[in-house]
Amino acid sequence: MASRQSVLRERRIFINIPFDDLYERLYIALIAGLGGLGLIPQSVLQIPPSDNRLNRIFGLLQKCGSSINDLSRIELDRKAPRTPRFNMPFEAGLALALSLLGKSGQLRRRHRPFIFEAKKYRLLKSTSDLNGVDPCIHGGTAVGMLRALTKAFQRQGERRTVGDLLPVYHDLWGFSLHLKRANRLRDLFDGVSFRQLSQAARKIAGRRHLLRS
Amino acid sequence: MAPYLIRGRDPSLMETAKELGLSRVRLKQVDEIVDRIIPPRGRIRFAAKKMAKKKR
Repeated sequence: MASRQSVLRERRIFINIPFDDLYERLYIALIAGLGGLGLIPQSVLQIPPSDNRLNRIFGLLQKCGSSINDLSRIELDRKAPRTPRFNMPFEAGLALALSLLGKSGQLRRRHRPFIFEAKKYRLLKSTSDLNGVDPCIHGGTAVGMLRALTKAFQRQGERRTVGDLLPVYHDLWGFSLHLKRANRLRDLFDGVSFRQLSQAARKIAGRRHLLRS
Repeated sequence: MAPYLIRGRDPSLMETAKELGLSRVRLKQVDEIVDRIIPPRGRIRFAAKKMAKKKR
């Protein structure tokens, strides 16, 4: 029988996503979807900026049974000098390395990395090394994100449809507006808000009778 | 903190909060906002009412 720690590890999902205003709806949909599936999102937002940040990111990644790596927005940023956003592919690389080490038996625990994209076949063009990896396409919409999540985690967590998860997303969106107003926030890409959103998603899913307590 | 959390009606919810490292103050804020969006029903609502009376 699986130990409590390994069950908890399977439930932890590392989310490697862009933190910008245009991604906000997908961010809320992602947290709502994971909450509805009974999974616990983990993010770099929980790690305070420090010297050993990379070590801590890798440590957090190792604690998670799976990761979601969204490579849909690796474009040039707006600030000069304009640079591509390398954090997401870099962390996806770490997740893939963990997965390969697990498969080869060099690591005891396995890690499942999922690649998310907005457009079909773009991954082949941007990162041809990932040829053979089947990305989950969300199309840049909240419903698409929920669909991609149900497809990716059909074996893990609770079995849910997009129709089950959509009310959780709508409620969590309402929650996010309340939270922004209450804490006078411009966006929700910070550690505390991330934790509160994740807890709220879990709670809303429970209220909607999606989860066994 | 919401009464059903104090009484441990939903241990998995507490486990998630612990896992996320959420402080009691922030957890209470989550409970309050969620209660406003989806009001609790049945026994949970009864417990919340009872708790509110006690506070008064």
